[in-house]
Amino acid sequence: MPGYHCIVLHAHLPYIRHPEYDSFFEENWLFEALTESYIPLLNMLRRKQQDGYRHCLTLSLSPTLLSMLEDPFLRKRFRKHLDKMQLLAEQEVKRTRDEPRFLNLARMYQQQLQTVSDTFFNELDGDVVGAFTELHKANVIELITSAATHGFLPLLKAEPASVRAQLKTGAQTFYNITVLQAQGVWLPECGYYEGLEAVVEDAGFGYFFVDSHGILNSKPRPYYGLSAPLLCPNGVAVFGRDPGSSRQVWSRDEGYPGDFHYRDFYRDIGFDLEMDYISPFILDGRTRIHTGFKYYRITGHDAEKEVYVPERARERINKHADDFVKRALAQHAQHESRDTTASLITSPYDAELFGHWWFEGTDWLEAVIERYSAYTDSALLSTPSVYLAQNSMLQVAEPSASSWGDGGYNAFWLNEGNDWIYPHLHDTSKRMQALVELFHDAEPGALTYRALQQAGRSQLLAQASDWAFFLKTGTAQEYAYNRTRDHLARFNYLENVLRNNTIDERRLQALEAMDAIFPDLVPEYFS
Amino acid sequence: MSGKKQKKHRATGSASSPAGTAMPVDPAAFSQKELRKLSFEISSRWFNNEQPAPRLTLSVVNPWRIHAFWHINPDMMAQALKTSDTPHALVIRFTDLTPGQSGKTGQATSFDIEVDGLNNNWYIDLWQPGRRYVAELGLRRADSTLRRFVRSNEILVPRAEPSTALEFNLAQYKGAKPISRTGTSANSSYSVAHLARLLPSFGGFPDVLSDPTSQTIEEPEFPGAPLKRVQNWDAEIEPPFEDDATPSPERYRYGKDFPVIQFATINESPAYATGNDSPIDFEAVPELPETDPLTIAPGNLTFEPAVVPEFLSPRAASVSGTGHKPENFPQINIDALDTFHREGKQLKASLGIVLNNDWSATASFPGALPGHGNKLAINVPANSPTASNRPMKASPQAQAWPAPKPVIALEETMAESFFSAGADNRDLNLSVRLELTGTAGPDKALTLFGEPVEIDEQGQFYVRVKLDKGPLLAALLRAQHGTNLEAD
Repeated sequence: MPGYHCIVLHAHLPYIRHPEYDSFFEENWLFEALTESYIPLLNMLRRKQQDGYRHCLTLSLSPTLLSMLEDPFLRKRFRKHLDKMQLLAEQEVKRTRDEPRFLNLARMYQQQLQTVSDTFFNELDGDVVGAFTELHKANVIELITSAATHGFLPLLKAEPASVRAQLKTGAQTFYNITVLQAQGVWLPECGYYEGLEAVVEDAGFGYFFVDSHGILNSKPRPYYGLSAPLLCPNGVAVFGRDPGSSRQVWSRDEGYPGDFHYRDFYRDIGFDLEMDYISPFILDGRTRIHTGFKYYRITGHDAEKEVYVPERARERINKHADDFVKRALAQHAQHESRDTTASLITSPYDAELFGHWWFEGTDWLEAVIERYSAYTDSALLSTPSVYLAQNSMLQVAEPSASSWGDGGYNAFWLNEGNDWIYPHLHDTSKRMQALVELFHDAEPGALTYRALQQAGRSQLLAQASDWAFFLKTGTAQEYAYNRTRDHLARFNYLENVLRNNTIDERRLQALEAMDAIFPDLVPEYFS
Repeated sequence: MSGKKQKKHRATGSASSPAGTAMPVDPAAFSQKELRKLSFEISSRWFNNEQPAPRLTLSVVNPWRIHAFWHINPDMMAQALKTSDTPHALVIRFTDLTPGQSGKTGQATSFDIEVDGLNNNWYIDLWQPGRRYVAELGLRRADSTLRRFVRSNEILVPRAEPSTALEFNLAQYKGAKPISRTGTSANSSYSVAHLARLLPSFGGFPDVLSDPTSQTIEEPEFPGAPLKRVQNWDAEIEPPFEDDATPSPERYRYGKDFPVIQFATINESPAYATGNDSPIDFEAVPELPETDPLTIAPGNLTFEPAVVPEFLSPRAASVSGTGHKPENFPQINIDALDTFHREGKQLKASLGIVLNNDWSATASFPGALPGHGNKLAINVPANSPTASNRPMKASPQAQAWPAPKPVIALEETMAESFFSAGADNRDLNLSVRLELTGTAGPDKALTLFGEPVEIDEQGQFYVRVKLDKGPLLAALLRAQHGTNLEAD
């Protein structure tokens, strides 16, 4: 019986969209991810489709990301962003014309940008989600989704309505955009608490993922350890992260992305070149940021950076793909005597790691997919639904509360840097429940109903795990603080005008236009 | 929310959008300036929920640590203290609901942790993973009975090691429950695509190559100073709570640096000697012991209004107005968030004062409680024409209106308050910010510290000022019917 390997990429970005400004730094996160990760991944998978590959990987598209990818306003801005980057590429080709090593790299970036532009605008007309959906329908990938705004569910649990709203709105958003029902759900940050499976089932999902100790500490003890999913007592399946294959990709010390021949992320012309030259392409013409044009390889610890050589990186990609598959095969071999439940490896990663942070990551994935095809007798790439269809008898156990954050539980999202958020989040949840009860007979489309929906959007947006994450790490801390504050304030405002019957339609529509997400939001999910 | 049931009503919509219609009239596209102004205005005025519902919430941090935050209203404490003659302590009483872990009496075991603050949060280390708890916040009497304010949610602290249970039961995976499409946005004018058409036209980047710095952002007009970017508070505008260039959320959290509790008073502790995988009788869920809930409805503590002599001097924070009728001031809020330091520890107190439409004054302040030295003086001008008619709800030690009450420095207030920053402490640094919002006639004029306060087209005003260090003076707006009298 061959072993199965489920590679799961979780693609998520918080909802960032600021029509009140001509440009906004944090919106670049989406544009960079599209340029460097999502579209290269899409093109790679379409190549594999052409070559006849199936069940290559599982892709989780979070509802906020789905909404942003579908947003005409952001597509328009992406066009502008790409135009600007292509202009920079043109200038870089001119600037480096006397330095062949740099010129080759400038041309490489220019070509990549052209490919992204051709794919996104000419071929897909912006419909990236539609293209991934086609891959799902062709069984090349399995698409799943996540909670509405990536709320960290163990810390929303005190108000169960919040958890319900996050999961049900997430499921509905995915369905309404893709016209597919996601069979599985990526719990934000793999955050699980005992009993969550009931809400998962109610939202229409059949399986989810937890970190390794969520399985290993399950009750009763898992007979197959991490090499098989478990079945919660209510029949929802749960897959556990394989620590070995995770470490090979994630680890700063042992992981493949740290290879000295791979491209260095931090050395960027946005910081290296003179301000007069680079200012048109950076934030507000004054604040240096990453442009994506990076000419150096990692080189070594504390070593002077050397110029990036793609051919050398290609050799390492092949070597690392060989190593990854070889290790997986060895792991499967330990379970080859099984005659019932097939051996399974579940390897989840952030999708943005591939291409954006790890420049060669998408090529590495492609190499892994190709190599696996040589071992179909002993192991094959698969997706959770395929595995479950062929291995439907599973051990029944209760997983243990866990997350994939530092420490394995909730401390990363609940600590002295961000705990001030939670009284507000729980309070708004309670008040949203009261609003839904109070206005339960509001007609869809009526002003009251719209204000109620917008209050729900504000509540969900305030709950994003990203804000607590940024507040903890110090990255984009001020932005995270302001976003939390803005959404809580918008909720408070909407509650006030609802209760006092003083809804100002223009103000409401301005809020709808700024937070234009979840157009089909169902207020009942919040009760 | 206080749990009061409100009368159900439905917005009837504006003239351009009658209730029940799904196709509202298309408004004009929004300008960036309009969106920024609205965003800033809502964020500034509506962030703080002035009356959060009383609650105690437990959250799991990890298998050995939990987090508790709570909020109770001052009048709950006042009522409880009024009816109690015996010594008491504010405690969180944890009850262990782990199945099969009841004590000799059949009741669940419990332990108390003494806490302080009406609005606070603590991290609490526990003994053992895998246990189930509920907690109650209340006043513990001398006989260990509890006058309960609020009861928490139930939590299950995670297991931290593999289970010893080895059953191997198989079942069949059935798949996901089918769902169907919801909503009507596909045929609605309220689709995201529709909303995008209402957004400001986007200039894009064509001009960046010629002069990237020439792109200017129009400033929304607000009292005080121009706004440059929402996420960067301009130096001339008071930042959310501090005058730092970069607001740090850590300053605004509840009870930063409160100690992690390592010890607690254990009432009955058979459970702590048992191992994680001791035989458990799953049917024997312990019974939660009875506690004595506080039955009053939560609301605001009403303080005695008093005249503060200093208020009459021009030094105090003051607002002057012309020709405002009391009915034009449905509510004036003064809201301050104070951060003060003591021995390297940072605490936070919040001050909210509301002058109601009927001229009664209400306040909540965790540092000042009846029975614990009501040092918070709320001042209303003595010559207010309606002063003698104001409804009074005297707090236990309040003086009768309009007898003057001396102003006491906030340092002393804190030192002697329930918050107990330390009786011997005289080394507090205090930053007080006042936010004033209200309604005036659009043709009226207001000044604050001699500076004009802008009144918008709807007659609303909003201004934020930082007060100098010194006695706490909560100087409320003075308004007189039909006069042009300036108050100071």
